[in-house]
Amino acid sequence: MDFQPLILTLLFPFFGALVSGLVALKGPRLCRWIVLGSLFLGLICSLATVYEVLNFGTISYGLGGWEPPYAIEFKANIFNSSFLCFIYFVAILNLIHSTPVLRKLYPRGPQFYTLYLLLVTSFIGMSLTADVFNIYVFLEISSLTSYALIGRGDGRACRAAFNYLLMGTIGASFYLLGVGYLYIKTGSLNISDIASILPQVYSSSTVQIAFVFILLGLMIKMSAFPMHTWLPNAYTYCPQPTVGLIAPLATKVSLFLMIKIIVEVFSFDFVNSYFHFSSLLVNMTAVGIIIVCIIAISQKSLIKSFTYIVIAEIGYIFGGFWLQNQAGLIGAGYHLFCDIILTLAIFLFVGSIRNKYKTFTLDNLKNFFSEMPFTAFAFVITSLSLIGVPPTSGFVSKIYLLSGAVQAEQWLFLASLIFASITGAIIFFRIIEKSFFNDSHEKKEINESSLVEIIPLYLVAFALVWFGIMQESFVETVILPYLGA
Amino acid sequence: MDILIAKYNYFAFIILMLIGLYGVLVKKNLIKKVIALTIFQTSIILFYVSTAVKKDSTIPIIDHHAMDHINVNDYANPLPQVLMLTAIVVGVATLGVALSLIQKIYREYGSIEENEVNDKIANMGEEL
Repeated sequence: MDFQPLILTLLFPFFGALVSGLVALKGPRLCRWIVLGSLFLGLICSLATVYEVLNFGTISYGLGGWEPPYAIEFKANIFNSSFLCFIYFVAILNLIHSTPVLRKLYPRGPQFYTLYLLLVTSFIGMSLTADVFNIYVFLEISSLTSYALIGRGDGRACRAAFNYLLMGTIGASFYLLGVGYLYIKTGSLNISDIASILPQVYSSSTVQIAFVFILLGLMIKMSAFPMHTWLPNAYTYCPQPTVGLIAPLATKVSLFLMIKIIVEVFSFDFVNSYFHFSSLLVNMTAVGIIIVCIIAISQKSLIKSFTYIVIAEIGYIFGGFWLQNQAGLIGAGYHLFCDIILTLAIFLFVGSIRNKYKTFTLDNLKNFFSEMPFTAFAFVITSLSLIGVPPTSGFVSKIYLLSGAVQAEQWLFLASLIFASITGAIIFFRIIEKSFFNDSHEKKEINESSLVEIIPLYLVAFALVWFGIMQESFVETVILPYLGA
Repeated sequence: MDILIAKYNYFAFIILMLIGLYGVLVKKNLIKKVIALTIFQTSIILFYVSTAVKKDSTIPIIDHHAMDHINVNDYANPLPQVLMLTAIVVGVATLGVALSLIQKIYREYGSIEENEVNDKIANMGEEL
């Protein structure tokens, strides 16, 4: 028995979910430690996986003692093993940050922890597995747990969760249908096996339809522009500890799956020789970004405008990927990681404010710079990164995406990127203006939120800057080996 | 006509799938939406299972006495059927979550008609 970090990254949160479900009724404290412990053990294993991949190359693990392609295969390369670390980073920081909220929520149902860990498990499963049907299973686990987690909120949350359920199930079913077509033609479900068989049957219309169905299903799941309508309500009315996990990861994992399936199963050669819609997709995304940004500015509810910004950010990655040139691909890959931290930072900030003032409105934010100076500083860094000011990571991905758009001569996409930056500036400066230039000059007492909330916020803000400074080595070690043309 | 007879299973699944999609999009009653969603999912299950069938084949359970001479063409392909077992479980779980969400909506708004729920939400005004 040797140490197998690859499979343990999945098993720790999975068994943590089962155990925490069993001990949940015993009391919140024990349950919490089990959850945090399993997440930390998982993080250590994912770091060990990255270490092994860096030193020995791709790792493959056949489940159940079978040899791939007959077994369900788990495969780690540098791209998805770094993705694992980001998943754990978000899950742990969000859980620590929402400690005060969870204390209040716990009596209403200790099942939260089980669902939380199952959601983390499914994200990890999706990024590790090299089996197209297994991806579907994990996709559905992640959707079912997120419907349940969102539906636990008050008021309109259940209505939003129901809409999400309808859209999500249709999306996943389209994906399943695509997998079915692929299976009929190739007789295999293993990604590398399919990839070796496919070139002989590229011209078959079955394979082309399979590609369209899979892409369509994943586009619904990632809420790419025309299919985004389920997202804003679901994220706005969702309870705080949930939104901190779902908003950064759920859509990003679907984007990750799209990249994985196009790079590893089909190829750009296949896509370009049988479909001529990559330019159309980029233009559609560009129009989408502009529309979504206009909606974001016009929202009365600040959280809702943040959710529209999330949709715009998905557009960056989607559009950058379909530019299909070196700079665009690097930009998309880099922003996939950068956006996870960025969205986490936004929603942790929302959580801190909601915790202090109960609701998140512009009026509540009037005094928060003087009352919560530490939170405010982390917030400024976040907004700088969202706008794209150097040296934050938002700047780096913007530069890659912009140069990709120029090389591909997609001027509409270029314009939409700049417009989105301006939108981010408008929304965040509205908050900053409200709190700096308000009329009341009375001195406010410092009334900062607790340390468990500030430390994760600072870790995330620090990660945003550090990730921007370290971009060169990150792009070289993680993104270029996977996405470099 | 030949195509219709040779590939009638595909036509059946496409018709069921479109019925399901139509129901999800058009029906106002939330329960009816869920029923349509289930039809939609079931159509895909039908598609998978129908691809596993071979002519003159039987269920994929190997007879103990016939271990020496197994002819692959005598048995239906077991893999799509096994995959669909998982998909059925997923469908049941989705149904459960959907019904419990509808229950919660009913408790919150006193109705399961989509337009009535939307009217109530519009009357309540924006929650921030």
